[in-house]
Parts: sequence; C-alpha cells; structure tokens
Amino acid sequence: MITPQNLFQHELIGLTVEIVESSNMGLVGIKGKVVDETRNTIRVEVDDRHESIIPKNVAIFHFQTPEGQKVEIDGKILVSRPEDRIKKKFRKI
Amino acid sequence: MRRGRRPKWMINIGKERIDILFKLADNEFSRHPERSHRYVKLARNISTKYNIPMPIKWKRRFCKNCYKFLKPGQNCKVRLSKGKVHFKCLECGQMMRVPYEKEKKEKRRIKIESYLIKKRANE
Amino acid sequence: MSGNYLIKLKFYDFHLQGRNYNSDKKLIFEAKRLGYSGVSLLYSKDDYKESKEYLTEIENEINSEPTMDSNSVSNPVSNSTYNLDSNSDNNLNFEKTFKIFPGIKIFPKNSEDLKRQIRSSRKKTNILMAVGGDLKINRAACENIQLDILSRPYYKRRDCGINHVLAKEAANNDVAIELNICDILRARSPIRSKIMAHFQEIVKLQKKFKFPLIIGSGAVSIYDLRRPKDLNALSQCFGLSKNEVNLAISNNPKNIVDFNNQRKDIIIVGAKKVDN
Repeated sequence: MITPQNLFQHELIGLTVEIVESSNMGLVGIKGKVVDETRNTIRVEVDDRHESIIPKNVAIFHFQTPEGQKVEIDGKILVSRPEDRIKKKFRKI
Repeated sequence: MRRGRRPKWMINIGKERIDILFKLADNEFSRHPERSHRYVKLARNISTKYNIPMPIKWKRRFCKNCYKFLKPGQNCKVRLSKGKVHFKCLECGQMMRVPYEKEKKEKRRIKIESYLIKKRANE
Repeated sequence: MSGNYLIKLKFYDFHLQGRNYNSDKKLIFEAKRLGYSGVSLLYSKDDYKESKEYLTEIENEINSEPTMDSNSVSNPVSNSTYNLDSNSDNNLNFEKTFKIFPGIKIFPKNSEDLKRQIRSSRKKTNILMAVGGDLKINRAACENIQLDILSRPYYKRRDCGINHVLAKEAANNDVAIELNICDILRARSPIRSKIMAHFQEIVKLQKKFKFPLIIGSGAVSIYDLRRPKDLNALSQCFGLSKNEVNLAISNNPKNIVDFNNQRKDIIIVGAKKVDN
C-alpha cells in the first residue's frame, strides 16, 4: 500500500507527478506519469510522444498516491538509488 | 541486525515494490518493451539487496540469462515435454526447464483414489 | 505589483509568564493597550491544561470589546507605518482580533531530560520554549528540531552561551533564540552591562548565521511590559537595525505559529501532505 507516510520510501514509478517549483523555470508545470527512475533523475511521460528527464535535486514535486492524496516532496531527499531509498535515513520532525 | 538481514517493514515495502514493478512491466510490454526490461532490472535490484526471494508468480516471467521480461506468445515459447515445462526466451535463446513432477504425482494420486472409491462402491 | 508597501505591522510578545486568571488577564489587557496584537503566555507542563480553558474565555472577552475603545487608547506606534520589503502580502490582510497563544515552558535539568520533556509535550501545544543556561542544554536544544524557542542561553553564564557551532545548528533546525528584555530591567549596573554585551554577541552571530531571533519581554507583572517602539529603540543599542527588530517582534513569532499549525501535515523534513 502506498500511503503518504511511506511514499518517499516506496515505488515512484507509475505515480502521477507534477512539478510545482524548480530553479529551472522550464520544468515548472510538467505533469505526467513517472516511467523511470535513476539516482539523480526521474523520467516523466508527458503525453504519448514526449518524455522529459527531470533532475531530482532542483525541483519540488507533487506526487499523487493511487488513493488520490497529494504529497509535496522536496526532491533533495529523494536523491539516492531507487533500491537504496528503502533503507535511507530520513529526518523526522 | 545481522548482516544481510533487514527489518520486517523494509522487507514488506520491498515485496510491494517488486509486485508493482512486475505488474507495470506486464502492462507496458505491448507498447514499450524496453521499459518492462528496465523494470525487471529494478525489481531484481531490490530483491538482491534485501534478500527477498522472487515471488513464484513472477519467477518464470523473466529470462535467467539476459534478465529480460518474458511474455508468452510474444518473446517466449512455452512447451511441455519429458515431464518439464520448457520456457524458451526468444531474445537470447536460453531454455528454462521447470519440472512439474509434483503436479503429475498429485494427478496420479487422485486417479488411484477415484478407482478405490469406485471399487468400494461396487462391493 | 512589487516594491515596498506602507503597512501596519502586527507585534507579538512571545514570552509572558502566566500564573493565574487575574494576573494573566491584567497582563493581556495591558499588552493590548501597549499596541501588541498577540501574546503568548507560557506555563509549566502541569498548569497548561487548565490555563488553556480560561485563556479562551479571556480571548473572547477581549475581542468582544468595541474596537473604537481600543483605538482611542492605543498608542501612536500601532498606527504608525513602517517599510517592510518582504512577506508583505500576509500582513495586508489586517485583522483586528487579538490573539492569545498558550505555550509550555520547559526547565530542563540536563540534555537527556530536555529530550524527554520535549517528546512528551510536543503534541499538546503550539509553542514550546526551553530555558537554557548550561552549554550542554543549549547544544541539545539547538540540535532538536522539535523545539521552537530557546530562551536565555546566557543565563547565569560568563559568556553569551552561543557559539558558531550552535548558531549553525539553530539555523539548520529553525530554533529561534530569545533575548529577554526583563533581564536588563531587573539587573543592576555591572550585571546589566554584561547582559547587554551578551546580547551584542548573539546579534553578531545572528547576522552571520541567520537563525531566527525573537525579542520577548519575560513579563511577570504589568510593569515589565514595554511598548514595541521602546523595544525598537532599546534594541538598537545592541546593534539591531530597525527592520531586524521588526522581524524579531512581528515576523519571526508569526512564522513559528504558522509553521506549527501545519506541523501535523509534515511527515518528515521535506515531505508534507497537501489538500487537493
């Protein structure tokens, strides 16, 4: 189950994502499905033809869980290999 | 924590992630085969890192030689012969053989039992 | 629309010592007369629950007063205008209600005790303040992301209680550091000058490391309260400019409250829930 509590440790591929803030203004507003993930980037399918590669550490994302809840995540905490993200230590508040 | 062992919640998340990735790979195969091959790779990374065995459902769905996703009828040939299921990967030509001895024995046992029941009924 | 706005500022006093119903009521009314638009009363952990109930009563009472009355009494400071270059959009929606924020004050014995007390009272309240003094306590407080305010780090010390390491940590974890005006008022000349020197030191560090700074009155009786303008004048003695003082008594306290209102939505640092 992907919930807001474990989304940052869970699989990002397949979720809907929107970029709300970035130091690169050209990336803001991109919305689509995540199709691939590497250590520093995620690849978003915008429509049938176009895919765009977005660096994680310069953007703030709005992920949507399958249930429809939205979570805002700073891309800086996602920077790690996809399989390492499960055991990465996050700072609790 | 012993070496190679992970806490339970990590293993649970890992299992869920493997499941999600293989489902996506299955859906995407007809349009983007290269994506499903990539998803298999990601799923295998998780499984090897956290000592999670591949689920039986998905164990036969990727080639053990070239690690590509297999879809029977498209890039995979499935045949029965000599008491084994033969999966042939059409990408690299690797043959994967899985015995179905258990199922055979099960079938035999059911057959014998049904005979016995008939016999008793006749007596 | 960009540039400077000429607007009214709202002032908050975040360190009033709460005791009982009568004295609290006097303090709050006096603070309103002096031109504050919000105060925070701090209690120990045991008194917090019952005091919260009567504070809502006082809040209703003070807001039901006719506004004309308060305008005639209020001083020229609250009506005067200031330049503020940032965050001015929030302040444009000027509300005339007086706000009271009850909070918990912690007197830790050592760093372990501080952690335990913070954990137990974090969920109960919006404002959490720890009283420093010992260097180990100061350090533990600055490193704790759950704490809001560290009060009087210079208390009973020969130096200001903060160094460059703690300042960095405080900026990292958003722990505000409070300058207590009451210490100056109560102390006599040799100690008073020392405390002023400590303030100067803290201000120096603040300018370099940019941790949030708060000026609180620490008032027990109504005679300890001072007007925002007086604070402004006094603070220039230890090196704060006019705008920085305005940040310290109006913006930084507001940020703390705003951040704590959405604290339950934040899952970890960098991830939070958003309403659709």
